[in-house]
Amino acid sequence: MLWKFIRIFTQAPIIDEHTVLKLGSGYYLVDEKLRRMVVGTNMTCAAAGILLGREFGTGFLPSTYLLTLLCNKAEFKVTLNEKGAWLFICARDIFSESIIEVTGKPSVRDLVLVMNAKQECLGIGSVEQKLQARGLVIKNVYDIGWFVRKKAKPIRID
Amino acid sequence: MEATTRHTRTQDSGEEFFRKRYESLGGKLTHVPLKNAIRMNPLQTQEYILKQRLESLGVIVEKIPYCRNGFWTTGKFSLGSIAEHFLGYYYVQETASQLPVQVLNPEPGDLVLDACASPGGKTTQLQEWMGGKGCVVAIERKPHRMPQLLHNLERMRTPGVIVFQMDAANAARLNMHFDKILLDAPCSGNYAADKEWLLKRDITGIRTSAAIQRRILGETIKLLKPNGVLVYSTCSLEPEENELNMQWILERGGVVLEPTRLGIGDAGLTTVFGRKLHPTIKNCTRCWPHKTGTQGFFVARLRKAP
Repeated sequence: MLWKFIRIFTQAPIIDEHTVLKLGSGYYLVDEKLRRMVVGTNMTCAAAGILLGREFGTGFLPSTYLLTLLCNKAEFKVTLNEKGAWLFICARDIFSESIIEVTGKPSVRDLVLVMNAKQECLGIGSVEQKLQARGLVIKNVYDIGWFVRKKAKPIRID
Repeated sequence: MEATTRHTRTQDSGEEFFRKRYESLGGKLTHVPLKNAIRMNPLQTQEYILKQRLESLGVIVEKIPYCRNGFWTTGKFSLGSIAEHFLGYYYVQETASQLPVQVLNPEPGDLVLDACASPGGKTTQLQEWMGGKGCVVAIERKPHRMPQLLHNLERMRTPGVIVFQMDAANAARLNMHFDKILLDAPCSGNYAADKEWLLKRDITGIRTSAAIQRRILGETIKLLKPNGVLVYSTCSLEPEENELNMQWILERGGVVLEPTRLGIGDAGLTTVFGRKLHPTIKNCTRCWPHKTGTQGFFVARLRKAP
């Protein structure tokens, strides 16, 4: 599911698959030493290394680290102004007035990475209508503030 | 039943009881407002960048002189709900809670056990001190505390942490021996950090906590490599959970207490309720809220014999 999720945004290799370890529903980035420790123990490990994302029912919940890896290679990105960025991490959708830059030419229903002006990835949005249109143009699919709201919104992987 | 409760309260609990108790130990029971504090994550950002970003949001940021990467903050909103927090640039952590890792002083390449890890403040701090190199084995007994730990590890992007859900007293089952161990033991807490504390705590509960702490301390110290260091800490002011536990472990032998070398707090008590304790217990640090402006806290640094 991790690889399918990454391919939604880019075909470029962003992670060496030999560095990925699956523990339960989570995918983790580990070095060789950490992998040996996990494999060598007879106890069930809950986590190891840097989380890349988690399977969540039929969906996938990416980590903030994975989003950072993706944002250098992703085909589609939108950058928001300060107010739009703040509202987005509070689970709000995106209005065209908040967008200050678009990378690529996303179509309706495409998923885009949502960035702030400092080029930090804040989450993922789904294009609802042409970005030049007025009003709501991108729906909030996932944002990094979800844990505080205790309401996970996994991304459907078809 | 009600009468028994009232009787117990007047004998072993309540504000007056603890006020007298602390005064007999050379302390005080004074309500002090705690300063908000954060700890910068040097694996993700730098001091001048974080300061600049927070100040641009109207937050006043002041370096804590005795905590590496620690800052006091004053602002009009919660620092737990902004992008800089979600991206792992800092951890909201009370001032005194930042001290145990400083006393342990983990280094790159160390194998470290964090024996009671959730919510992960000290786990992530250990990795930061290690520059993300080496390994922290973090264990947590309670399943309901695991999501918070895992989320904080994700947020702070610590590369070298392995997590197990298990009781610290059973950590021998990991079949590992550690260079350093952090035992921030479950404790009864303190009145400065919890407004309800004086209403709900009594000596029976404190003694129960102390027994649990001894069980965990006795087991985890076996997992230290020879010459290894274990830092024991609690956010309790009660001698049963602090100096008397140190006396207990010293009497068992095989360890010495080293100075904590912190620039804050009082020496550990060497006389408690008329009982003379081992003189090296003065090497521990005790934070009385009225003196340090922090929550109540206790830190000790134990070294295992070579």
